[in-house]
Amino acid sequence: MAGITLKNVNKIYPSRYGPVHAVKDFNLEINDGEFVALLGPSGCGKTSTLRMIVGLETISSGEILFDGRRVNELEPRDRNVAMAFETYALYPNFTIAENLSFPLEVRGMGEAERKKKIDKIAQIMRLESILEQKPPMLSGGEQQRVSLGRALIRDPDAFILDEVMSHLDANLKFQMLHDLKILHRELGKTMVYVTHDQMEALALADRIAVMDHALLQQAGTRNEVYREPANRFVADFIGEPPTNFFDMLVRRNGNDVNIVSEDGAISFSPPEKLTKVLATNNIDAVTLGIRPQHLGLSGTDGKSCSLKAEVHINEYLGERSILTLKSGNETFRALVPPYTSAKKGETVKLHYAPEDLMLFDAKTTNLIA
Amino acid sequence: MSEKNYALVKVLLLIFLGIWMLFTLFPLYWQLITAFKSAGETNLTVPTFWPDEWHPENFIAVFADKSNFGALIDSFVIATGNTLASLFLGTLAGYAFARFPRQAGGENLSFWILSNRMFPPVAILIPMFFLFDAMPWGTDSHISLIILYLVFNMPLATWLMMVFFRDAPRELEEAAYLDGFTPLQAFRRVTLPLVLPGMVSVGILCWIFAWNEYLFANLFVGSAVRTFTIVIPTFTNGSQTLWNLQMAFSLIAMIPPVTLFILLRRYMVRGLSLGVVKG
Repeated sequence: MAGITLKNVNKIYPSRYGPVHAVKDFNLEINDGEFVALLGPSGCGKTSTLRMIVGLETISSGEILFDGRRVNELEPRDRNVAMAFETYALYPNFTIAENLSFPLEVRGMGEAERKKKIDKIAQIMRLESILEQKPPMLSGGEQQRVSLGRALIRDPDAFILDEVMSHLDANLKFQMLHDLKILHRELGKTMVYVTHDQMEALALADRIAVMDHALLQQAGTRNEVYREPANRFVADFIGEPPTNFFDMLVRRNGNDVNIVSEDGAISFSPPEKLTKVLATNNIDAVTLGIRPQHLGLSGTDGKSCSLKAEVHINEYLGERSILTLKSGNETFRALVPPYTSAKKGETVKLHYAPEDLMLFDAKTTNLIA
Repeated sequence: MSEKNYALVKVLLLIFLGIWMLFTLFPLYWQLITAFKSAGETNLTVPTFWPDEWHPENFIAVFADKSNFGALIDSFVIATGNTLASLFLGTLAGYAFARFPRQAGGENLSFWILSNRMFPPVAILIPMFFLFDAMPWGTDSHISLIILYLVFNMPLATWLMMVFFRDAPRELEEAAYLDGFTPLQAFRRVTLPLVLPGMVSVGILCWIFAWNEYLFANLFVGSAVRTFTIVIPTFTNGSQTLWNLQMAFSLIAMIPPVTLFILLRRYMVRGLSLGVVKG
């Protein structure tokens, strides 16, 4: 069992074209038994961060602590963390049973005990029937289960999972998400899950750490990163389809505050909370974000506000339809029930709840409220 | 492609293969029949394409000088010793170049090693002789040729092994580190088995080169140590070349490499196609 602490961790790779700063001043506290997802687009530094945690990459500066103990100088084998790889990394010349047995063998465990452990893991990961086969014979899902099994078998303090689902098809992915969730609940081990897929992160993690451009953008619960994204990037990256953003101007009229697009075609009335914030500061240019999920065709109760837009595309996706709409110079999307009959060129009235509006500073892109 | 064209291509292909086989197999056939001819028959102005009289005793005659058998042994020792040394050094160096290119001197060093192979050996024949002559073991020894052939075989082994190691996924080693292996254990138990087919084919290439080498052997060794390649030209009778004995002896010298190839051909094919197909 281990909590993992990253303190001002930096990673700088030397390269032919000068140093590359892959991870900048990364601070994160991962509690014992927590399931944390490291989420970000490719090249954002999440894999470098993870490789520093397990010890495959040196730490340029800063500290990594396991339960308060500095591990910077420890070899991977001395850190007692297990890792599952994107490419599974099973030893191709050995059978599944031998693959599972390796981590135990190298720790000097006796054969009888090894056999017992392998049988147990095989049962948990549903590998009994393939124990005598070799990795190249197995399907991707089976290989990934073996790779997780190999990580589990030696009872490590923490699990690091690196994009373990990116090569699985949708069906297997759902099965694997379920398996992982159950495993985490049963074992109660610290798990760090690296992914570029926000759906996986939202489905699995207790907390999500969103990275971009070598920087940690936000670390918070699923609800926090979804509802209160720290900046425009997080709002954009989390959620599907992506959040609509509008470049807007703040118009103050006494106590009354309105947010209007530059050409005046769209205006939003902010909720009271936002009005207060905007009334007291002097930010004039803002980026307004609203998720397509929060724009509806049917919300007519007293709380909702509305705006008009012209339908541009109506995509039917089975359980939902996505409307691409135009208003003035702005194009945005709304997620609506299927069989919505809106046709191209039709003008529709969209409703939203004011508290679903997210307001970002146009310059810093940070959340205002 | 239409049925007719397909047939035509097939015929052309067969004709091409037929000519090709004639080119490659005729020397073998000639070697075989010459080995069984009498010395007189080999020197006829109009050559015979089938021996008038069969002389299997040629194969015994080549060992009239007892040390000729020793020459095969000497060749074997040198070829095998050189192959082991080339594989050992080439594997370690290739691994370093593949995994730690920056620390191992970068592309320049690895290419310099390969360029040693491209260098024309004749150009350094004499300097090499003096260099090895100054060594405590002299030129006329197994070890001198074993070391000398490293100049040709080690670059080849290093370069090929580097390619094989590059194709062996690094994650496997990393997984092994996390599983508790030391780097050396991971190398030996995880990575090495992956490149073993490649190693075998590199080994065969090195072995055949060292086995067949004549130029340096002719200059370096000759009394204490003799390779079979320098024994072959000794089958003469005054001014007459004993083609029959030369062919008989070279046929015998072909047995080890051919056997080696047949025994290891499975590895050889896998090794040469390593990295061609993924998975």
